[in-house]
Amino acid sequence: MIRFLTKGLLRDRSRSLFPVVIITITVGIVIFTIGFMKGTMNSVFLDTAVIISGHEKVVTRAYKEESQMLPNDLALLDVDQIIENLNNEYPTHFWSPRITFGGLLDIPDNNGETKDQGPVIAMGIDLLSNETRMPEIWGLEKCLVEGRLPKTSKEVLISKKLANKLNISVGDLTTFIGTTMHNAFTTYNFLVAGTFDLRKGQADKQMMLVDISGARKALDMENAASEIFGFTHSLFYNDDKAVSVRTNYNNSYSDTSDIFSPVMLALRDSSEQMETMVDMVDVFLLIIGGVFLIIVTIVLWNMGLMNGLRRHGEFGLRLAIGESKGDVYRSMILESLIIGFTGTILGTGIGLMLTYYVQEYGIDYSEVVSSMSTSSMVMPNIFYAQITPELYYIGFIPGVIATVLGAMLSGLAIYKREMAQLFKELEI
Amino acid sequence: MENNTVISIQNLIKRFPVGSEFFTALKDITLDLHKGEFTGLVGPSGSGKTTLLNIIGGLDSPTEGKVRVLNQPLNNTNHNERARLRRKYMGFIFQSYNLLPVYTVFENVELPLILNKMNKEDRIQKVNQAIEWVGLTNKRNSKPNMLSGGECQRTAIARALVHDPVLVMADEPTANLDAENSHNIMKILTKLNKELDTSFVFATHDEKIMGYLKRIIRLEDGNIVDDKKIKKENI
Repeated sequence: MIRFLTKGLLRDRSRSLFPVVIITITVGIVIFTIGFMKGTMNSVFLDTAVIISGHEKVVTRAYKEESQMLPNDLALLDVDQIIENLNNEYPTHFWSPRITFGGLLDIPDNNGETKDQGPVIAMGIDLLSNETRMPEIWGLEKCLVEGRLPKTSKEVLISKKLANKLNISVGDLTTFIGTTMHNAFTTYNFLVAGTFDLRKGQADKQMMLVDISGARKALDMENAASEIFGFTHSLFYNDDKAVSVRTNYNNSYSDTSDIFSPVMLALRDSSEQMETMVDMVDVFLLIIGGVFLIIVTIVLWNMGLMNGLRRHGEFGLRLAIGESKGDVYRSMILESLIIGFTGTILGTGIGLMLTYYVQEYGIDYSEVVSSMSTSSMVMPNIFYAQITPELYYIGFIPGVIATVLGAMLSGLAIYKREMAQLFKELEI
Repeated sequence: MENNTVISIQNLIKRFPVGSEFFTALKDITLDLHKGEFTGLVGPSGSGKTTLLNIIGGLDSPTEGKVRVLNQPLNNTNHNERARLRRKYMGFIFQSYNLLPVYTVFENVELPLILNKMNKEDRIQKVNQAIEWVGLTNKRNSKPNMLSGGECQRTAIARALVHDPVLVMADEPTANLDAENSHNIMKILTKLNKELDTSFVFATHDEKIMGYLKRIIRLEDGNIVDDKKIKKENI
């Protein structure tokens, strides 16, 4: 009988192809929408984390209080040891030192006289060590406009905006003028290896990137760092876990009576704006995702229902020639299960492929968001989707459960109606 | 009940709810039908003939009274037992053919045998035989949308008879057919009735088929008003 029904199912496109197509499209849209929403929010979090806060960051208590001033005289010391402890105790994250410093960038002419000069916000990040993931999470290869990535501690990358403002070209020698961590005046020459555009609004307006070893030499900060940034290996921010790590670390290492003791801050601690956003995002995703899921569930439920109702005549005939009600009902559910699974698997595949594409290439919103970045939160110009574990199974809610429930509901008529009535009122 | 009694009905009453009232479709029907009979339940629309046919076929249940079909009391049997009775011993022919549109003639006729779990070789033989009875051998691989009304009804007849039922019920089998096709269908059914000794019960008000019936039971307003056996030589 199953073979007989399968034959009918394959031949009747209104029972097989069309429902499968509808389920495939619906599930694909669900997967992509949820993946895109999650990815978009994570893009905002990750961009802020990369540039400003890390998923976690460790600073001294004193640095935390004065962080807007970039007070490197209050920086962390003995950084290698702190990072070793962090790597041992929190292996879910990778940890990397950073020196954030400000000063003037001087561009000399051929005679060594100042040609141009302007303020610069520089970041000393780990660009050169073997195990570093900084070039990857900054996306420097993609962001490179001209030149190449630095190969030595004396080479820097300058943002395209700053390069244009100060008329800097790749290969130019620049002089950083600022203060060391001991508040002494310092000048240090860097060679411009390349220019970059982060494509994150105004976030890189005055930005210069240098390997941390170069920053340490320029600022006399041997084995010191302004901050130590931590990122999850998946680069996906989970606020509950971040808060847990932060609380655990602070309970173990932070001494409120010592202003130089380390303190850990989670992404949500970087600003009030970010804290609100982190709090809102889960609720927002739950509401939007939930409403969307309910709508498509109702659509597919209804489709299952209509498919069943349309076939009452066939069921009547099968009952009349001696198939039992239970067998008819079970075959109907089996059919909807097959249709639901097929559509869901195809839809999940297509949804994941689409999500993966947007995860890799993103959707460019440059013009809309170029003015939205702030000093405490970075708005990306390109929104990326994110494939998360739930995307592999969430499509089964509308795709299988709703379809089967619809079929089960419409099939109840097989039991509730008198057979003669079922047969007569809905003849084929 | 005599040994050759196929259907025995005593004091059957059937009521349907209509709003807050009840409509009595069958009023105290008592009736016996015997093996090999070619019986017509005849009467105008609303006289109760289809309701009676549905109750005999176990598609509907009586409100009061006793109904025994093939020695099985339908009042006390559950859905599964009634389904088994229909599957093994009954065949149905309907006014609108009720063929499954995605299956061929062969597959439509095969369905009762699949439900009876007959093996494939026997199925093929039985289906081919049934299709031959109704003269559709050259159409065995056609789907219903490629058949005329008469061919569809002949397919439905083959489906009703393929599993050698004891009793075949036909609800207005010629209502959608022209005169020529109606006579062809009735000739086929008469022939099969003689050859297979299968009992037939028709619900009809089609004058064209009256001449083929061996027994005519007239119904009016849910009552039997006449029950007449017609001698074979008169047909």
